[in-house]
Amino acid sequence: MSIRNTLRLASVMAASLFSIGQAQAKPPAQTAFCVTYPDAPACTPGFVDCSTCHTVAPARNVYGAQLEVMMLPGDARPLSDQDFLTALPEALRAIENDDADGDGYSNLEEFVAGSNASVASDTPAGENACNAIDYRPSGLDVCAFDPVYVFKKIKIDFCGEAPSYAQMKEFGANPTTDLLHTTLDECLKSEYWIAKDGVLWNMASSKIRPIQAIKAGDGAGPIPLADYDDDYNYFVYATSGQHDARELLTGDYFVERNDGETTTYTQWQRNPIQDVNERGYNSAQGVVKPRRAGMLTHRWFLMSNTMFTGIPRTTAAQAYRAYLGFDISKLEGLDDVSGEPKDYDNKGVTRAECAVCHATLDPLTYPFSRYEGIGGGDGDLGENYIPFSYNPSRMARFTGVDGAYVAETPEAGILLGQPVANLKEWAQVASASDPFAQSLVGDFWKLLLGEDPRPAELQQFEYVWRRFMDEHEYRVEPMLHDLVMTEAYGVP
Amino acid sequence: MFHKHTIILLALLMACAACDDKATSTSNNTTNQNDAGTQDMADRDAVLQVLPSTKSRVRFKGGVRWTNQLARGLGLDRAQICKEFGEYDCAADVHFIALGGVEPYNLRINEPLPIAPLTAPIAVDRIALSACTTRADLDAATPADAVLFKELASAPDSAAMRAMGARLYQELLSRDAEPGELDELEAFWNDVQDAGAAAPAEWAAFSCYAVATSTEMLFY
Amino acid sequence: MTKLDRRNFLRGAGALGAAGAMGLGSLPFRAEAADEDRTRFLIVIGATGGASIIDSVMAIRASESANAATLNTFPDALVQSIDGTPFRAVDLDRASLGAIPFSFRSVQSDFVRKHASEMMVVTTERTSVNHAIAQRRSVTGNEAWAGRTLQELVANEYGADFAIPNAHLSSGAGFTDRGTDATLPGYAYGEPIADPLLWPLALDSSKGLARPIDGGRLAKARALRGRLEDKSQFNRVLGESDKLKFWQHLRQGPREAVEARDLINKLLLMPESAKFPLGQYGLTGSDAAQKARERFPLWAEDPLEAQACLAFLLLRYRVSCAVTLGPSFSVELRDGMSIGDEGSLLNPPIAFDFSHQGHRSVQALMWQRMYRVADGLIDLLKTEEYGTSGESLWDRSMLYVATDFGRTKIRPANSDEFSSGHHLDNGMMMISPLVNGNKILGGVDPNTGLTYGFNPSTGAPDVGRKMEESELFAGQLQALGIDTSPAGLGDVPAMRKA
Repeated sequence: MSIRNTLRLASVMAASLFSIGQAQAKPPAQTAFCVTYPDAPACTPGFVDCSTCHTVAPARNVYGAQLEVMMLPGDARPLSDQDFLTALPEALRAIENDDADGDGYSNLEEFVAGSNASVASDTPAGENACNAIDYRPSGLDVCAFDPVYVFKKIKIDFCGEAPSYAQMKEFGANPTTDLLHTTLDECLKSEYWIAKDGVLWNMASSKIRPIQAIKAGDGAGPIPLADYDDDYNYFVYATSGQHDARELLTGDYFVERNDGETTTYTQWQRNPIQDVNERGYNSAQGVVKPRRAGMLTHRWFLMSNTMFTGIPRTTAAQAYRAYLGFDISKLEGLDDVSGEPKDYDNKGVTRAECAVCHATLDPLTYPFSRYEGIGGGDGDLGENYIPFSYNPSRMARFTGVDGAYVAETPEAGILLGQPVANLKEWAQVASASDPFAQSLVGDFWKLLLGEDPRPAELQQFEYVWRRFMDEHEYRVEPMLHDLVMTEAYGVP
Repeated sequence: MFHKHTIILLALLMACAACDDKATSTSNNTTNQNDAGTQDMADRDAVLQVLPSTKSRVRFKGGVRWTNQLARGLGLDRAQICKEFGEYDCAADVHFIALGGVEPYNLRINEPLPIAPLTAPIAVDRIALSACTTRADLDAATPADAVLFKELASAPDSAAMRAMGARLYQELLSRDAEPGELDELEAFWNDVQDAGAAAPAEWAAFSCYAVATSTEMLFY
Repeated sequence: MTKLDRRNFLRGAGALGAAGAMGLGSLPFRAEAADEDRTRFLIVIGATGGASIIDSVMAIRASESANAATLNTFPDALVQSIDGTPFRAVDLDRASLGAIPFSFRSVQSDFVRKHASEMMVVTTERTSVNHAIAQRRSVTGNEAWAGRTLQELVANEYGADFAIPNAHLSSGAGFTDRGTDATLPGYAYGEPIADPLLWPLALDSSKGLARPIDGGRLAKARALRGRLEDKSQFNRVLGESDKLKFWQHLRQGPREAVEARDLINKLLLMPESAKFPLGQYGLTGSDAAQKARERFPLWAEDPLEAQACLAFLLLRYRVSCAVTLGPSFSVELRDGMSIGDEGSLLNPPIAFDFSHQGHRSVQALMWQRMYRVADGLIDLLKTEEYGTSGESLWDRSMLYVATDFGRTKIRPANSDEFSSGHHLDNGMMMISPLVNGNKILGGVDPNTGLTYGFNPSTGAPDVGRKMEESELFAGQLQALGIDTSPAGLGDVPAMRKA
């Protein structure tokens, strides 16, 4: 679980989680850890990341392995939650002076400094080196924000080219933060950043997951089912310029790309029939404007995720993963809903080992159930069937396959603990949530720093995503101006 | 307890947070750099230090960005850099995925490889050797039009070799070479003399290769 | 001084902490048995799109089913029983592939007859009908071992001394997803090979260039680079980076090992030609490549056959111990031909999933395709001696036809061609001297087309049981000699050779 995926977990994890067996992680430990070490930088969100003790749960890292030995040795496993939480503080303290990763710093020193106690290469920063001498850097300055270093990175990251010798000289002569911002603004307009197959475009691939063989539109494949260019165009539009990135989930329009010396993107509006007339059946978007929820109701998203199934859990899981950063298959973003899962489609998801995830997944899936993907159901699709459209009576078609109960599947669901009447509300709740901002900012963080925020960088990360929400009104470009000014980006 | 980096950051963040927009952001943080720029060399050597980073965070530049930089630095067209069998572009085609490229539509590789494959540094070698030998050959053949190795044809002395080395660093790494680095390049001249008549071109090509495939050129 | 080979580096990296950040992780969970060469090889053929087991070895005759007209059954005459085996085969002629006019003959019986003694089919109920997820689960047993893939586990177990233990010759399907367990050594994760024809060029720094450089002279340049890096402020400041260290490691020992074995020539598939003028570039190719080309004569036109050639060479030269290949989602045509030309179509769009357009014909064509590749690889591996004990390379190998899921079992009454959707119920096929050969474990209900399971210990059919992905995953690993107890997976002796 990545750092940015933890905020919804906290203490709401249901006891059912522990029915998985002794090998699983103990989510309450994340908050209990921070009761013992409230000032640790890693506890900024109120609880630590799973990676404090685990590689991929249930596997423990070296620190977790040390801790395990001290947790009520001799007692039968799995420990009850009560026993686990009672024993944890003492066990944590018992290994404070140990050095799990053998890097010369005790576990406690690492927690206090914000470095990782299980990674030998991540050590408390060289504070003494920076302070102990009259440090004046020759070139790269590892003790302060280094504008020359940042200038070079901005040119590479956002413009796609290293600065020339002359450019470095020119900047070095007057290395101001204003000039960094000016450079960044220029690069954010570059083709490298915004054109087809540019940086933003490529960022969207893991959300869109294109397949050329079934592409429609320009460069169509042999079995044209939908045009993912609509999705790419939309993503680039929403994350560039001064656009509101929440519209990734809430927009009711589409976007076209205008190639040329400078690529531009513009909104368009057509209803499904108009779009069929304009672009033909293979490319036309099928959802009417009042039922659109940004990229969640794009034809490609529905086609490529909702395949023959009544309750489209795969679709919802992809939305949850791509836009809120929660991968349920990794037990991320679990937030039990009382009384769920109901198992409307008779898939056996009420079994304990299934309910662990489906108590969250199923209620967040229901709002997707009225959107048509690829076929499915009782064979006869009916006269009113329009592929990739909103169809309020869709579930009735699945009774022959999934049983009569499936027709009672509600359109309303629950996302992040909030009731939502339909997918439009789902999108509103999702896009206004902290996880949305954390996930999107986290994507850029990873793009620009090559990894998730380190424990010592959580405060910086939170600063950036909170300002993205509050100050910048979900505009990506101002957020990027913040990001490049962080210590994480700006100090070598 | 917070270490110094965090304190610096918080100070910076507070400063930024107090500003309404980027235009009023402080430039005071650049003091060290400005000071460094005004020191003379002797003073710098006496006072300034290099400390290892505690973060040790770098990113791979990737095949396309690196190759574009190589082409610009060597004054070659992108198409002149490297083609396998004289036909297939090394960076944009043959070794594209190994060097961090993505191809989501057919290969369905949506993100760059998380870890460099074994073939990546070898592909880098092939591209750099191809490009550097091309540049060295061109400069040796037509000194009047030489781009990097202008002094190559005329039995270069120490100053000429250092001039070529300095140019190499400026064009490929966008910085001035340190004296010690120029010392190495100059000393390398002797290492290749067993190549006979080919020694000057080999010195140029190998010097170019050494800089072009250095971690400083490949990572940032 | 201890030689810094791949394994030693990774041990060192682990101690340095580089392993964690690089995803290199810890060492294998148990010590290797001293002296005994336990090495096993895994070939995964990804039957992308849903290879239906009741369209091959578990085909249902119409006379056996009370619902023959509406169930996916075949006319009795088309379903052959192979003597002495539990397997069936469907041999048929088709004039079209869905709506594509394309005549072909699919013959399954030859393959089954030839390989039955080493074939094992197990029934399964999958847990997803989404392609990407189902594919992934077909190689992780639904994340049964911390999300490790079969290929990663084989590479982890046997691959420390291989140059590229886990080679992914196909991409884009979940069969080559990276596992989620970051604790494995770096070499265990798959190395993508985007283009089997040209990829081997990246196995030598200089050979094959227009102006190849003598290795000894190039060593001087590398030494210069090292000295310059030592003086570089960039390296002095950032030199402790795991990425830099790993890069510097790769370009030394592993590169030297690959180059010393002349793998560029050994693994290049193509012969001398105008398109690939090997001689002009100082390259020779290899006899083994010629042998592979002869067995897969469409190597230049069919990417799957090219993958198969390279897979054989990777195994033959002990470069890899796990290889994954599979058809693409793209239409592949013979050179110079168009759709509709007889013999033109090598691969239909979206592979097995084109069954949406024409189930029976697509299943027939694609099963034929799988069998053809499997047959060629098995034959080739049987010709390669392993060690001096008289074993062949095949004696230590398992070929697994992985697939997403099954297809829907119904059809419009008596339709000979129809559309099928995705279905959880299916079976999966392994071919290997290491498995419990000549067996179908479980069975199929001819009235529903649904399969049932088996007792994991005895292999006895169990009509009331569905086999879980994790059980079959465990059985596969155990047949490959991998101890699954660290993952808490149960014993499945029914799936391995007694």
